[in-house]
Amino acid sequence: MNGALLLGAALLLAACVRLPTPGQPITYHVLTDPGPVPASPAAHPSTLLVREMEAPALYQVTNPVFSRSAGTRAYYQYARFSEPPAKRLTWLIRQRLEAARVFRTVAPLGGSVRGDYQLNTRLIDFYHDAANVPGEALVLLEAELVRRSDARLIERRIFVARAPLDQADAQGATDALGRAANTAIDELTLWLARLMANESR
Amino acid sequence: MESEARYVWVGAAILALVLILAGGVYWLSGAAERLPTKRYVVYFQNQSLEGLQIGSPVRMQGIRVGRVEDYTILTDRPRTVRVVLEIDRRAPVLQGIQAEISRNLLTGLAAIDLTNPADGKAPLTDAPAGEIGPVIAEGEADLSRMAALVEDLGRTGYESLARLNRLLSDDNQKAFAATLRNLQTLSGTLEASIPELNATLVAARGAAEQVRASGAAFDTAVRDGGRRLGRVAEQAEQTLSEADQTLRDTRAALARLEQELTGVSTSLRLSAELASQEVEATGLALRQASEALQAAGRGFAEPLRLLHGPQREELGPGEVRP
Repeated sequence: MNGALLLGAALLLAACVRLPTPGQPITYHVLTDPGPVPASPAAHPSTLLVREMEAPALYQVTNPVFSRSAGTRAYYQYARFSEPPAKRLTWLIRQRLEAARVFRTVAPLGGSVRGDYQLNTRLIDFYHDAANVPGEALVLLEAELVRRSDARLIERRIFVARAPLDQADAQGATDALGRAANTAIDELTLWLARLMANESR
Repeated sequence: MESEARYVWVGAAILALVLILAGGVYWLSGAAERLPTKRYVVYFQNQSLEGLQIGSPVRMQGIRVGRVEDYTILTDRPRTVRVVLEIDRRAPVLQGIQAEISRNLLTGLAAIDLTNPADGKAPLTDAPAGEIGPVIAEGEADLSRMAALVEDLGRTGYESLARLNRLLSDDNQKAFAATLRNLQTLSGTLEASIPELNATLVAARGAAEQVRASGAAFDTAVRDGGRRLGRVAEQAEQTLSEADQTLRDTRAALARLEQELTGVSTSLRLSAELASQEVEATGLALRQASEALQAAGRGFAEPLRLLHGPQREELGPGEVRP
């Protein structure tokens, strides 16, 4: 009798607890470089230091971000980037600038390399605008070029790039974000080439 | 007989369960913790009250001495929240006491920490007109202090390196190079004087020869005097040779000094440049780590969400909840 009472009480208590259900598998996406770019005919004989890209707290995690209405942001729950977007974009910028040979040398800031110029970048927005289906990817980057010898700001510019989604899901969003990011980086490379041509005069 | 005994046991068990239930309700209502208390008011303006709620603990030196009784977001004073605290009368609330918000990193739940001034003052008893209790001043949160400290540290390091850079600026380097040029000119002048000294030596040597010739003429009469004059001439020649050698050594030493100073200047400038880069990169990493830590802390503020996963409304386009 007592055993039955205890068993009943235990069963009643167990009903209060809800075990978590197994979640949808998480998919990791990689932002990739689209491939080789035409090299500049004459590299500027100087060294560029690329500082790690700054990013707001929203983009310091690996979840891709989407927005269903203006002024709101939310994370995809079952998708991740392989690393935080700002860190990956810094690496992509360095790769692209090295391939484009705008400067003789491109190195990360803090890498024990003495530099003539410094590129500072900030990630302002990096999300899937899902107000319409399938929506589009939006990337906003701010960049500034600084001459280190006299600590002078040469120019600052904001790059905006958009890319339509092929499908309205995380895979489509990350693909489109990658395309938009590479478009912004291409524009940044051309901008730097123009600035360095002016510096050579 | 046997069935009666069972009824007694069942009755006793039900009675015990009822007593435990009543005790639990009494405990959960917090009535057991009720002690003679006094009300105080805090106006928070600078600190975030995220995670603070009615019933949140109020602590003094880590000991719970009260709870948050009520709060009001003021409409007539921007960004100000009036929080009413209920504090154990036995807790020493002194004049100059400050209230700070502390937050549990994992749960995100906030509490209020009260800190009395180090130089113990009189108890805080007077309530301003229109207030339900004495007003406790708002303090500064540890996290804000730490962020300010890190920012100060970065700024100070950056300024020091900037000063070092200014010390090794192009203007200073030019001045330094000009000094070295002056030293070089000085050594050149000394070197230019060497022919004159040599000419003097030659003249002295000629004079000695003449004296020696004269000495030959008076060989016998002044033999001793001639010998002495010859020795004087030899000594003069030796002294001038030594002076010539000294000037050559001086010039070589100056050349070495110029070379070494140029090397030291280049090395210092390079070190300052690399240290400046390290400080800048470290500062950025610290700032981003601090922001990421705060974001992670906010994520832990809702443990139920961590256990049960996202709600259906939180899913992204194309995502489905199993």
